[in-house]
Amino acid sequence: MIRRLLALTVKDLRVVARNHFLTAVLVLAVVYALAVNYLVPGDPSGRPVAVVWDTTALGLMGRLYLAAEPDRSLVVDSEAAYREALEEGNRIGIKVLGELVPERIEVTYQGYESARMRRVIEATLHVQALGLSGANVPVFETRTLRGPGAGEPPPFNLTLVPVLILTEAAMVGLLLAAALLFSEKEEQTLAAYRVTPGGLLEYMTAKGLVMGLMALAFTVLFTVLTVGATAAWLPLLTVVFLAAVVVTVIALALAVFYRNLSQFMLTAVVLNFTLALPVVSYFQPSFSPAVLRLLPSYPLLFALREAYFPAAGPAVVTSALGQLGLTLLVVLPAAVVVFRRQFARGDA
Amino acid sequence: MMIEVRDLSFTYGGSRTRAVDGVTFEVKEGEIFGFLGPNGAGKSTTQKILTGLLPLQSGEVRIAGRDIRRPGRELFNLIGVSFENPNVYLKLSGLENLQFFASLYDGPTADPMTLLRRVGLGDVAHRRAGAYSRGMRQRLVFARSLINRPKIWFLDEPTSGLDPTMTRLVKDIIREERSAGTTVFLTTHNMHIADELSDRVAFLNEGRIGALDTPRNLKLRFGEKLVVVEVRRDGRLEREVLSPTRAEDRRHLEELLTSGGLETIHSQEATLEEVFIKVTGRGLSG
Repeated sequence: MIRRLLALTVKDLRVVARNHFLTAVLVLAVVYALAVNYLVPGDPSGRPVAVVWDTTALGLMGRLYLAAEPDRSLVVDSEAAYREALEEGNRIGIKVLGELVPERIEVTYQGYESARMRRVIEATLHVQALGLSGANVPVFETRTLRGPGAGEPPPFNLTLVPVLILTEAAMVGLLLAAALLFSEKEEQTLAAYRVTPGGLLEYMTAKGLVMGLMALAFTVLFTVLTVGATAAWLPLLTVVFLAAVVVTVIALALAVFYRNLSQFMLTAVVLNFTLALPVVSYFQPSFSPAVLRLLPSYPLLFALREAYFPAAGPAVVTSALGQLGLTLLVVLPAAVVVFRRQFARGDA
Repeated sequence: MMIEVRDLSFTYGGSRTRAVDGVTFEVKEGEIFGFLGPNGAGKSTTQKILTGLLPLQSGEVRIAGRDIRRPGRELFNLIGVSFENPNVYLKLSGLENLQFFASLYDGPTADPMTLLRRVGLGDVAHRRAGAYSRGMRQRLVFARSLINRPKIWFLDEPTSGLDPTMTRLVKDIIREERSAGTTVFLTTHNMHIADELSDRVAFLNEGRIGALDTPRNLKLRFGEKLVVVEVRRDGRLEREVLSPTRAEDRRHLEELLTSGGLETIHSQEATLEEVFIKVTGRGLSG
């Protein structure tokens, strides 16, 4: 069995390489990395740059802004510079009036800032002004119950990395595995295989292994280009590999009912969309209904996040591996049965 | 017996008529058994059942003594199947195709390169099969079916798409394999191939076997004995076909023999196709 599995895997690897599937996956990794690094902002909140004109003798407010957020603050020293700086979009003006400490603050908005953002800005200024005027401002201490517990949360663009790994692993398994199956249906090589001692279990396992290796290639390149070498590689690669195998087997079991990729596309889109649903919970953790948690992509997504940005502990990864393993134990024999039934109808 | 088929019937889903209807035959070890019939007669369906590609719905099939309902890996190690369609991995070279299939069998296999040379593909062994002509792919499929040195060899239209030289090569290989003890189940609608190669043939029509015997016996039983003569008349050569069994034709032949105008005289036996038409009421090309 091992010899046959190896032969099938090598054959499928050759076919995917010569069909340029591997090249396409690696190019996709680079394109995704460019998008994450250069198109998606690290902070998507749209927080404006503060243009501070502190007219007080000490200019403490200006210094405070420069010290706290140097890349989002601009301190000016004249009315003309203040007006000119506000001409550019996404900037708010903070004009501080007073002798030594702030006595009056005029805030100038562009007009499209949300009411929530205005309240946050004004509250922050209020606290800062109180502190500068010598009033007693309480010390803030924060505690986080559910991750990220340690350090700064990752920049927004990097939080997309697990999501893109998930969608890519699903896509590779879904579309490329189906494309392989359809090419074998078209070439009728599946019939040639079926009159050999080779079995369906080996056939599907080999496809899963190849798609798993493709997903690994994507993951390694994409991770190095975005997060760098800091990921927890073993859990990351194990989870990605197993997920790609599971999705591949599911995709094959569905694709066998169709004649070509065009006919299969609608099913693939629906399945891809379904598998991507846990992304909602990923960005909005308070929303995690049971129906989403049942999807194999749910634990996968959070395990990926844990591999990149450790917070909740290794149990997340272990649990995901367990769920994916159980899913595979169910879907692999089921897929073999589905294949056999379909072949019994004369569809080889 | 290497192949035993009893009362085999098969109906495709959604069809009311049986593609194969009560077929019974046996194939002895080392025999070339021709399964002859027009397209749609049920030949390929029968072969698919015998090779496990379609399930057995009704009847009984034993291949090398094994029930086809429970074939197991052992059976697939014994058989070789050459398909009518050139179903090869187009992205793999000819050699890679054969190496891959060789690795699927449990027992000893033939050397892929030797096989490729045997079917005239040695020079293009490293070229991708996608760049092969249809005839070359057909020869690759034919070679692939020999990779496990099969005891029972299923051939579906093995000369389809081949030029006369390659057809002869393929026929020679089939004879060599038979001489080596391989049992051959030859499915074809080409009566010349069946006539030349088969020890026995079965005529299949609309899912049923119309006749089953050696080609010679079938021709003797169903064919009409004829004599073809060429006669010179007024400087022109004329061809006539006469039946020695008819009194009128016999008299005419005696006249020709005594008149001196007779230039050639040949006996003509019925072809398998003529016998097929007589037995089934339809031609092989339909």
